[in-house]
Amino acid sequence: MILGGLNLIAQDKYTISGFIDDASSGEKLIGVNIYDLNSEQGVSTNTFGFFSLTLPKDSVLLSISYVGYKTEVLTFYLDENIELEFELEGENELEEFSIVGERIEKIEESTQMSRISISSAQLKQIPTLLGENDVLKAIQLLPGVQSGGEGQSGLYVRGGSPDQNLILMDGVPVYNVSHLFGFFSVFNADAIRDVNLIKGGFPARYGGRLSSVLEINMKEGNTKELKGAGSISTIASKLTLEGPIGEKTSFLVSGRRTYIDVLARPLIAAAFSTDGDSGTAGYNFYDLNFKVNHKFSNKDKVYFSMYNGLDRFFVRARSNYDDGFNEFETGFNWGNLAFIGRWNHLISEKLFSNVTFNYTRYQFGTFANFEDEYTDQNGRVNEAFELNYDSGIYDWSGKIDFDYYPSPAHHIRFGVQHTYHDFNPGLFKVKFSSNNQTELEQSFGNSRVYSNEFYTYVEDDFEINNRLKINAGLHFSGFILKDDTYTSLQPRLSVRYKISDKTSIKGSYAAMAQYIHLLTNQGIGLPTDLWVPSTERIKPQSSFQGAIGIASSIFKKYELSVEGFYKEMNNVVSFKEGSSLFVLEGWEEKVTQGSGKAYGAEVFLQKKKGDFSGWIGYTLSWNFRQFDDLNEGNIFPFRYDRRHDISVVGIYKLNDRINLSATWVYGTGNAVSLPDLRVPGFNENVAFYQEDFSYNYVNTFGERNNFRMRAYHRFDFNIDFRKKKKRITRVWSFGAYNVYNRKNPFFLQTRDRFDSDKNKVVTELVEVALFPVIPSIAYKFEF
Amino acid sequence: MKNLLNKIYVLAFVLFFMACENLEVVVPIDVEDPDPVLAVGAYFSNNMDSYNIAVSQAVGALSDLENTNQDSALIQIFEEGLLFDEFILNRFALEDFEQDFVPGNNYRLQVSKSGFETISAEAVYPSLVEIDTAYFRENNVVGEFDEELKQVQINFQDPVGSNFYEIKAYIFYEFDSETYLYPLYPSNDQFNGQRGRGEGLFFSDENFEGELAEIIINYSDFEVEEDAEVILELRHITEDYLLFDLSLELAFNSNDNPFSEPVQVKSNIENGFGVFALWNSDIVVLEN
Repeated sequence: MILGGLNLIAQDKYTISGFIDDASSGEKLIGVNIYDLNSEQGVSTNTFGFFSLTLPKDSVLLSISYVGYKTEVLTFYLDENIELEFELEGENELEEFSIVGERIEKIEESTQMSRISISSAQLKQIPTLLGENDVLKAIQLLPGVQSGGEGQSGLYVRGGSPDQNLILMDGVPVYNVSHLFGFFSVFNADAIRDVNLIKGGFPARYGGRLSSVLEINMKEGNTKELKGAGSISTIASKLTLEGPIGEKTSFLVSGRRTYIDVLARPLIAAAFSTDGDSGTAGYNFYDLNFKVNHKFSNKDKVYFSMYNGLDRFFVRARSNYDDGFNEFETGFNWGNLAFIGRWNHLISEKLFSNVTFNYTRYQFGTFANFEDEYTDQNGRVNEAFELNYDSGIYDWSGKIDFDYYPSPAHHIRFGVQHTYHDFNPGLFKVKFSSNNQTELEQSFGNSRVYSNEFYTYVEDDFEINNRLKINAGLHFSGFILKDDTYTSLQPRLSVRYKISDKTSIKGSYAAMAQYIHLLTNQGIGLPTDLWVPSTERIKPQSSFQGAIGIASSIFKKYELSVEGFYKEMNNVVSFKEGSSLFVLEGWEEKVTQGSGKAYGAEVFLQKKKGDFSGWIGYTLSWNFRQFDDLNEGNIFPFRYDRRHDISVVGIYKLNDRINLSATWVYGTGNAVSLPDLRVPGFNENVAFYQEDFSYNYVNTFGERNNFRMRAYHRFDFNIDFRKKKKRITRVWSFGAYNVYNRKNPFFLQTRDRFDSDKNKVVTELVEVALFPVIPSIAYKFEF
Repeated sequence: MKNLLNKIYVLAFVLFFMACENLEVVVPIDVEDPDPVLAVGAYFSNNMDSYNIAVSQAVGALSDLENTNQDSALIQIFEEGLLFDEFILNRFALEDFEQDFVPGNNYRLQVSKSGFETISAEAVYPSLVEIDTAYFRENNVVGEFDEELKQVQINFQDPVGSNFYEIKAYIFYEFDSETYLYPLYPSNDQFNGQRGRGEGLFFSDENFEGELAEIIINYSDFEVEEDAEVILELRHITEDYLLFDLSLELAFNSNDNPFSEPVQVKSNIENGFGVFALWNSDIVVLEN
């Protein structure tokens, strides 16, 4: 299957370079091991499936291996540079489902620690809420990662908050990853190729966030034949088409839309419809992914991809009278838009480059319109009032990354990026008109902020000897905002030392900086969450994290990693006491900055092959915050200080037609603040009159996050019935979320209840759960 | 294999039906309520006979007890460790209170009542900070709602060290042949002056520490006669007073907002709740 040509160069060392593809779809494979068994030298493919291996002139026994694919071994005498374009064939479906964990290399081989990957196939096997596969929910099942609350898609990684995650879709940051107030993420599982999460030991090529990097690589599109997949689930339908356009171009288009609004429309219309009144209400979201790539030559390939997603909620009502009407309309809409262009160019057999340009936008808007029409003594009157609010962040960005392979012992990466940010931290517009004449038109709110962010990096994955391997690098970044410039030099180091063939110890250190902040309440992923820049007053966040661990392959099919970590964060942002997330003006006045620290240990045991696969993850951690302006300056537990977090995932292939999967999760309850005293509302005048304070009191809070909610645990189950028909493969998927109906706490509130024993109304504290047991059914098909 | 599958089906159905038995999603939580503690609002100043005190109780947030007054409490005030005054609290208890607080001296308030733990607080009586000059400014400004605001400037020398102030403004008005002070609720754009529970405007000296303070306050001329005299009061206050008043106001403002961050009311009372507030004020009358 050697498709490339040969290129003779007179030298003692020669380079084997090229790309590794999936034989059935033509998709580039990331992290494939290319290893010469004679010289015991090897490399792995990069994000674009490219590799380069320089070896001395000699006979070569080249093993090309990748979990879930048949290993191929090539034998040849290396006396010239060789270009390969090689295709690997998948083993079988079972193995495809089993791709999980550190698949780039065996867990004990890689210098990278705190990294876990999930494939698209694996993602689709994990039980889901309402039958919708969700990448972020799957990530939450990994050690070191927590969810914010029941059903939420926010990620809390090693004590960090959701804004500290660099979530990259095809290499480009996505700012708001939530649909339906956080219950679903914006990533359509059918369009995803694979997902990589890095929790610590960040290589120098990543920066801009403190706590994690989540790389979501979308499929490129099948280059062999037209393929399709789709599903109809409880709340949404999806359809994905991919295929070749000629010999050198392929495409993928994928769409998803919820349809609760469509199904409920007649019921809602009936509910609104009374004497002369009418109206409607609804909620929906959609995602659209489009990708096309074209191969100009073996050295040049371009990709263009687009993502557009939107959530929309609206209410419309109209009342008709004898002499007029009044009409009311309100709603929210929010969503992301991204255009991404990439150009891969092979400068030489040892030097690979990728240029990326992108535009991304996250926008939130709300509106309320009132219209009133009637007749008075002066004739017909029409009055209209319009209120509009919009906020968002708009980025234009360009970067160039290089992969340089001077020898098998080195993989050097370097690059530079620049981003122009346009922040709109919230602007209100009001307009009042009478008989189509504008009476009032005014805007108020926060003015737009423009800034430039850049970084450059260099890193080397350097194998010193068979036992010792190091990844060392420097990341230098900067942020320019009017007259203020912030810069940061961040050293990164990861070390692997093999203590036996199957076991290695690893350590890492990473300093990080973050120039943008998310103003959010702690919990729900609301669309009102606001991204704001560092300013003269609000300083950039920074952190350092050290981790040490052991990684081992045991009993052939199992991998075990145990890691301990310690992380300190500075200038983390929180709202001041009494402030709320609805920021109209002067957001800088409403926030305060402080520090945080988190430490703990993670255990991850996974089985990657066989009829049964899955993992057990356990995290023991402590997580604190300190702000001068909060809790009287005393340190307090972060809301997501979760001492114990356990996840168990099992996937079992009963036979060729039936797959079973189940998950069980357990987490210590969140820490929340409860008022401890109801106190009189003293002031100097009330005191003078000796009033009875029973009518004038307020709750005051004690220590921040002084109360623990009950522990969270849940069992989910799914069974797939798969059948291959003539033209399609169909799957009936039945599942249940929260099978044993655990009333997991979502939030706390007080409520008044009549107590018959006391013969009076009493106030009591209640935990409100969100989801009882929820069955789901989905019909999926592939062709 | 078929047996296994059947068992799985049965188990799934059993679990599902057991789970559906109770879909109620609200779970009452038992939280131990703290015992009631004494709460005191004690406001003392030599000026304008401002001696006010009230005693109540602070109760658990979920308690069915009320914040009822606790009359008949024993009030004791110590000056530099020696008893300064004591009395049993009732409606008329402060009518005969004629003690003068001495700037710089330490005062300790102690409140006792049977059934409660004794509570206490300490404060230093602030020095008098005199208004150097105060005058109407020529130019008026426009407020948030397009209303016209008048401006008054107050200049005073801020003493060395951390200091805290409250500025009040009034006009006289007569009702039933009695003269009253009508508050003007001033505002300030310069130094982030903050409104507390009352009509005063609170400042710290972080923007003019040890220097001549030049503070411009705005007030609405609504209901103010053109030639009305304006009474300005500059209070030199304790930090505890400022923190208590502002945090209590913040707690009231955010009490019904489920999205607002929790507020700790900053009490300076040991073993209880409330404030022991002292201030020393200078007053000028501006004639139009």
